[in-house]
Amino acid sequence: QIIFNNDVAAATLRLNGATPLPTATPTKKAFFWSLMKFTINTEDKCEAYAHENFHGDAFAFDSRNRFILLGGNGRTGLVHLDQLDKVVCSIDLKSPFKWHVTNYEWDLFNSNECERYLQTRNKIIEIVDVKYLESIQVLEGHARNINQAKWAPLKRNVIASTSSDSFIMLWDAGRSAKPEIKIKSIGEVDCLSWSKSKENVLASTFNNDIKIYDIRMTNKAKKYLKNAHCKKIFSLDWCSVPGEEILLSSSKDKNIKLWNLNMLNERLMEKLIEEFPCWKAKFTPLSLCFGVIPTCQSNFMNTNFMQNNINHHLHKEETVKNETFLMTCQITALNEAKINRIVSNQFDMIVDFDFHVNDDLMDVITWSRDQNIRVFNVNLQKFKSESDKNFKIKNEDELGLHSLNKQHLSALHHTTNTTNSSRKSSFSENFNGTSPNNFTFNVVSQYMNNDRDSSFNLAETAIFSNDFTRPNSQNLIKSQSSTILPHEFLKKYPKCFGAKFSGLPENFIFFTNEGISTSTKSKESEYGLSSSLKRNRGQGNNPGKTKITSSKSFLKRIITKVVIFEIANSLTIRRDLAEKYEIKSDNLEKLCNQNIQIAAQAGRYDIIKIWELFKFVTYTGNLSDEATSLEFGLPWPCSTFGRTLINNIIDNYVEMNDVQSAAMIISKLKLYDLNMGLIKLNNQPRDSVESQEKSKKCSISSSFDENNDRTSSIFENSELSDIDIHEKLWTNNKNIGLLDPNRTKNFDLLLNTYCNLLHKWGLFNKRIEMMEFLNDKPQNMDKKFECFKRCTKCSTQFTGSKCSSCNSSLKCSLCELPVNGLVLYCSACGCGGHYDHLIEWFERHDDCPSACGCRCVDYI
Amino acid sequence: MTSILNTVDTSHEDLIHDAALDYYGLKLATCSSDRSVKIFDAQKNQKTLIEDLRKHEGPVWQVSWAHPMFGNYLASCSYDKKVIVWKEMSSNKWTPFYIYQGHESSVNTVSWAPCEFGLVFACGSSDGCISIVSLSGDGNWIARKIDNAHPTGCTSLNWAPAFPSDDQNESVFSAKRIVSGGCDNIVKIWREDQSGQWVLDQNLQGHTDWVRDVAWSQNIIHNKTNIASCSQSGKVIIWSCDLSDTTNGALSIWKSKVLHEFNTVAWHVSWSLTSNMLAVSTGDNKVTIWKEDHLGKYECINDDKLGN
Repeated sequence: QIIFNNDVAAATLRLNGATPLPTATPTKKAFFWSLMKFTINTEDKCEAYAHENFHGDAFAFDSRNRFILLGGNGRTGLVHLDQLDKVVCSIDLKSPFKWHVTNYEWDLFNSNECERYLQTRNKIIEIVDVKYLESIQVLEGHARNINQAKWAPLKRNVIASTSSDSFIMLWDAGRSAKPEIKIKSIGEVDCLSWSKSKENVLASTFNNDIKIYDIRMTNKAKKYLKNAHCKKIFSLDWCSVPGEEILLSSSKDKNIKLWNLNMLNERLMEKLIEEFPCWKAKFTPLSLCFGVIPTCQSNFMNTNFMQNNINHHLHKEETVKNETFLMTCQITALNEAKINRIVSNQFDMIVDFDFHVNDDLMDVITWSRDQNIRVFNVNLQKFKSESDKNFKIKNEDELGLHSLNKQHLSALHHTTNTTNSSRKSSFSENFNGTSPNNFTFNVVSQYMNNDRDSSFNLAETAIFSNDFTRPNSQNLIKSQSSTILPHEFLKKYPKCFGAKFSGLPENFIFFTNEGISTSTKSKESEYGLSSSLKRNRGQGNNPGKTKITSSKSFLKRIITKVVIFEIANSLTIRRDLAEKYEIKSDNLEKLCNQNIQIAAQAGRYDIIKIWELFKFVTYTGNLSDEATSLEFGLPWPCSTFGRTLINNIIDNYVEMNDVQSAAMIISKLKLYDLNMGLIKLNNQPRDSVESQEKSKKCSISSSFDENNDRTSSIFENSELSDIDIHEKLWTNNKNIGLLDPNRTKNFDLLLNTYCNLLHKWGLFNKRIEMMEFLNDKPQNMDKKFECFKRCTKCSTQFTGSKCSSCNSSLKCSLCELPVNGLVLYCSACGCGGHYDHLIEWFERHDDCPSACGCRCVDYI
Repeated sequence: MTSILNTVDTSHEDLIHDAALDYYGLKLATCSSDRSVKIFDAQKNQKTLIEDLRKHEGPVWQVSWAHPMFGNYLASCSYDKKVIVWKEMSSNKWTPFYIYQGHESSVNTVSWAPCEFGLVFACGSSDGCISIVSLSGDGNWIARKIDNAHPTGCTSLNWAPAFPSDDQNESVFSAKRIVSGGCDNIVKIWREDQSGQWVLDQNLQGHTDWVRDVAWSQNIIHNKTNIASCSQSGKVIIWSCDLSDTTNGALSIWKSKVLHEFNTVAWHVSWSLTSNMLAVSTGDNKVTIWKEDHLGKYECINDDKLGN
């Protein structure tokens, strides 16, 4: 029974009658830890089962079906936990025989499917199906011997392997014999461990360093713990508590370290042992304690079994005591671990071990060099009482350092529970969902925050926002994709979340998948995605029929939501303005005033100013033509308030992406130019107008010059003769409008863009009004199409209201009188007649008035 | 800054992969892994299901609306290697109008061309090819294929806007162009030459991982045009081309600028219709909107992430 704190005290630990732990030394650390109590009974007799025929080092235990794999000479032995003395069957290895199996691992992904395991030999990985008792797939790709190979616990069919050839390779066992992803490392990659809570995360080691990768982003390590140990790292294991990212590493440097990678900054949680180099350290399925095998004496080296990874790391290490033992460590306080030696060197060297949890019993199964399987029983005691369950860490101020009072504890529970409840519930829920047995995992989780410094709060937030605290769509995708190959998934699976601008300019849509995460029992998944992907793996072209049974379905229901936002406020163009703006009017000033009011209502003060300005620019008032154009000796458009200003303003609006204002200004000025007779709309013959203008303007300017001694400063400074001035004005005359004719194309583009916008908004009338200002109108604008009618009598085509050959006219289907003018007819059946008559008819009827059988209403 | 106009629970039975509003912003099309394409009436305060179209035999990845000047067409692409063009035959009655089956693998993306080019769509597939399929005057669909456009698979494509033709460079400017992204980490621009063949115009290299999405800004009023692309590694790049530079008549000089590097995969980029805003959807379920100021700098304008 343990419980501890770093700077608070109040921890008791009873381990086989051991005295309560002394208070841990206060540290600045503050983090989450989880505890439970159990006792280990070493007095239990341990049984040994000899298997002389299998003298390999490779060993693997399948916690669900309780099979053990043993490596032997040219074959693999399969032993069941219930009958440890018998070899159920032995599977012969395929050639080449000279390589022994160095690693076994069971595929524990899907408990319902057929059993298979992987074995590594030299450079190859073989996948062996227990049903057929032979290897069904060989994965080749490494250039040198493989150090470790592991199934991804949360991703189907995915294997990662490390090798001396400096690559970590990811394989897709269902698909190809070639590696899907290669991750290049600097040197030889030793150990490997998949995260048990994050499907895409794996940790690997090379020499002293640990690198953590996200397999979706393999170009660089997600986290890099440089010099994690000061000597070579021998083993790595992730904590299996959901949501926690605690990594255990053991090394030749005599340290076992726990790393908390969940925090914003990964850091060392603790150093556990400083006695001996540890060959293997593993979390139990409960993740609370872990077993270690320290490395030991030289006879280990002399065996010639392990060709690669063990021997040369171990040579002549500081002479370790000539003993080997398995021990379990319980993490008792932040800087301490209680080590319980359960197997001492009464036997031979232990090569590997694993745990089997069954209700409140835990078996530790070991495989040792003397070719014996041994099973040790560890008795786990569940918490009995409620107060025990909610056993909490005390605050120093409240409880004092050493006392431990259950009443106080349960009282405190209520105070701590508030912050903790959400986490706890989802925690246990998650755990129950994944636990192979129905083991009640009574965990007390608690944050210890005594510093109350901001950095901790940050860390806390980071952890609380971790995915499992609330089901969001990411969780959903995760649980979905866990049935899918990663690579396949990425390649075939475009998007399941996104946002885009679509439809109208002010629309922004957002689609998302939200899942309600539940841990339900086996249920059939009919998700098209999974089935289709299964299909893709070569099960024939049978779309839609395949159903996949998944043992752990986290999904109850998906909510597929589309949210449409309106973002009009962050746009420069406005629909309400477009609706209200007046485009055509005879009185420019009135028009400007109207638009000022409209802009004021919409709160666009910049536009008010602009309209005010243009009121001034286009002011015609009491001034005669002569005065407006030649007040300063120059035509008005050539002044500062003329084209320069206008071009600048338009450019400014274009820059601001405000096509609307730009187009409105252009249309207004064009209107001014039109009203002043400076230009004409191009649908009228233009040359004649222009020549008239020219002559008129010319006469005005020349007469002005003659009658007035004052000339413009520009002309004073320049040495131009009167004739030159006249010539210049003459040449300038055709440009006398306010709008720069050199930019006609540009203006047309802006107008066109705005017309398209109006079209999108459904403001067709405004659009047509606006289109009149276009210089180059689309050729077909005036007549979109021409209706030809075929005379029913003589079959001649005609366009007017009467047949050109036989003079019979269109007749209304209802009143049977000739129709002149507006006709309403159905485009499907061709029947129709007077507009008013038909509207009246269709108010009450759906079908054609001429009884031709057409449901005209569908087409109207 | 935003107000929610409408929320539609699409009731798809599986993951939804795309949603698009039609030209007038009135109808919403969605597609999902449950093999269906749904059309909703999405006018203000309405969310009625109009059609539930089930003709695909695999997850449907993307939907795209055509310009309504041709009638109401919707294209959808699916894992079943097909592109289906749906047509609204009569009011709210949609039927498959054309099925394109020219690909050997999942069709990941489909996009209609600007209406100036006629009724033309392009689609890209995991088999590495891009098809450009157009409806000719006689009612036949004609497909042109770019083989091995992205040998390892095409993830996304988008059409260039119809640039106004320039007197000198008429053919170059008004040429049809497509930008595409794929699993070869390259963004490619394709152009239709005079003979109607599609040729590689530009290779835009800068991504280090699969290109997840590309978007060509549809704005033509500025003197420059932009392409945004995002990748698996989280990098979002904006490629811009100066149109006023006359030496650059063939849209050949593209400048790249990294908008941002996200820590997670960037799934989707989308330009606003006014082209001054870019929405980026990332793997952590967040949407960031980037707005270009008048100096050409992009700034993230939503810190409250829409995603949650």
